[in-house]
Amino acid sequence: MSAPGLSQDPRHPEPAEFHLALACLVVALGGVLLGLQVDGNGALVGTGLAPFGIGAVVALSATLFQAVRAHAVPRDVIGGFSALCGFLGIAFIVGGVLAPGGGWMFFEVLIAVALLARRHASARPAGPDLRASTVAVLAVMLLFKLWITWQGSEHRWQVVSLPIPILASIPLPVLEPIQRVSLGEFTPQELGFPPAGLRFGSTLTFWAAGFALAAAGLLWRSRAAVEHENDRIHATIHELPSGLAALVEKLLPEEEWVELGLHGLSERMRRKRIEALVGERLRWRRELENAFGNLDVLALANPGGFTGEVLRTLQLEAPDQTRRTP
Amino acid sequence: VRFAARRHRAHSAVEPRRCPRYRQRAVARLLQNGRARILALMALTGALLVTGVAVRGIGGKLPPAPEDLPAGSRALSEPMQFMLRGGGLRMRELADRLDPELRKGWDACSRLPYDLTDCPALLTWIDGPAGQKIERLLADLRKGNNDAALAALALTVQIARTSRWQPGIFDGHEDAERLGSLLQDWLRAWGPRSADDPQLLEPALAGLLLYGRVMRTAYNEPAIGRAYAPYQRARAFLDELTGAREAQPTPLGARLAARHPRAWSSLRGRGDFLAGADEEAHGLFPEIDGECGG
Repeated sequence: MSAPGLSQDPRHPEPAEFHLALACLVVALGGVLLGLQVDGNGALVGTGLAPFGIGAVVALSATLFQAVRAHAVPRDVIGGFSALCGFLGIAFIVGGVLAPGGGWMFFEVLIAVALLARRHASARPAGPDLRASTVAVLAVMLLFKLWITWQGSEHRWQVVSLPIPILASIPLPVLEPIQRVSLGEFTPQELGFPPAGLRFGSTLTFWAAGFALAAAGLLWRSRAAVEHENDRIHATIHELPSGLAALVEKLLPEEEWVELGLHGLSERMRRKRIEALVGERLRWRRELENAFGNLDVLALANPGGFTGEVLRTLQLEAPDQTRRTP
Repeated sequence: VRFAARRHRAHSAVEPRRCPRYRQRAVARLLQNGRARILALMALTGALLVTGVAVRGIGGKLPPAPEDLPAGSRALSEPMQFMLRGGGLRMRELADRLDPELRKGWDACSRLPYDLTDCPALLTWIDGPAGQKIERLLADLRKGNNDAALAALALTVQIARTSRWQPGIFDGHEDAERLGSLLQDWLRAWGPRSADDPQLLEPALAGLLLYGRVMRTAYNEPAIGRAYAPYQRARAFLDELTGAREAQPTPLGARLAARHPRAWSSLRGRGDFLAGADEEAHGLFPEIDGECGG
């Protein structure tokens, strides 16, 4: 049994592959918990497919926006699987934090799309990505959802009810309807409550744990996906003889692989890209050495000031064959 | 010898596969295999992802109410009628279902609350000879079966209907407190049991709402401030009976929340926690105002 894209040595897979698989497992666990609520009878009831559908639309928009910017495509089984987990994880988490109905839900959808369409400057895992700042905003949305869910579980069908000064202090029952003003009214249908009502405490535990797992899993997946891509590039470079591989790794340091566009490429494209980059770096080095060789340092003796400082740096840092005594 | 050796080899080749320890070793070997481990993780994750989508479709449903379940041949139809104004018309029906031991006291006293016409103050009447007889009958009925319990509650509600317990401007709140004690005794004995009793559920909830109304009258009676003894007694008793301040309500509390949400939400709140019950009791028993409907 062999799956393309998994490590060739069955006993020693790359650690990043394990990390990716475990991160996906954590995301999936969080997704299950975010999809459940406990009704008044103590039975487990689903949160409905509609919020998940909206979450999937947001995840799709984020995936498209990010794919257009990054051009990163999963190139192996584990990468594709992790991209799928990323997509479903974002659908789960967005569906879990959105207010299930009312006008503010669409406002939240817009915010979620805007936040998720951005991506890390330095990391490009295949599939939709999640930033820590986005997780913070999503956590605020979850708190808002928990607040209105708690209000509903107490049969208070508004976001907040404020007393009107002076009028609220008059103890006359006939004035009760006008003593308070309700902001953001909603209905049990908008909240997606089960017919038997909701047990807020148990449901809060499910949703909070689900959100924490899904968010942590998505962040972990992002890091692991970058490491996994680095492992693939490393494996390609180490197909070369060891001395040559070490030289290529000096020319193309690992910290620059994302910026050099080596992530998310097919095997053939990655090799061509490495060849091109090695050639480019060597050309640049040769041009630099030539420039040093042609530099007439004596003509610029004792210039002082800014020029003098630059010259002193050149004498200290320049290659031996280009260093001259003034 | 060759045959025995061949048989031994065949046996040793087959037998380990059946052995649990062999199976454990095989699983352990599989899990040591890194690629197999990742594939196993991926399979588990895939199953969880599918589950994560599927669980969202689980629909909730209301369990059938106790009174909607098929009832036996002895079930009383429309037990709430015994609580309402026309309850006296069906008292014969209840009497036929009482134990013979209770029947004697019932025949002697059960008409007394229905025959009250001059709206006496509750405390005065209950401490008199007729009131004491009724109080003893109520205590006996509470110890009987659910028919006797229904009869006891019906009599208590009738006492609330035909006696005066609404405080005046200068009167105390003792009448209301005493009536509240009668209802509380019944609710303590039968409230928890009535949550799943088709005959007693609606009457018990009605009794609970009336208790809320009576006790609210008792603690709101002072022209200024609040009578804290009845307030705290009602608070403690209803918290225990309904679980209003617990993480999970009691079964009776859950029924109250489902059928009388206004009463439930105010019960879970602070301050005037019986306002909702008072409102709902007013809708249910408009004639029970502490002044004999006058």
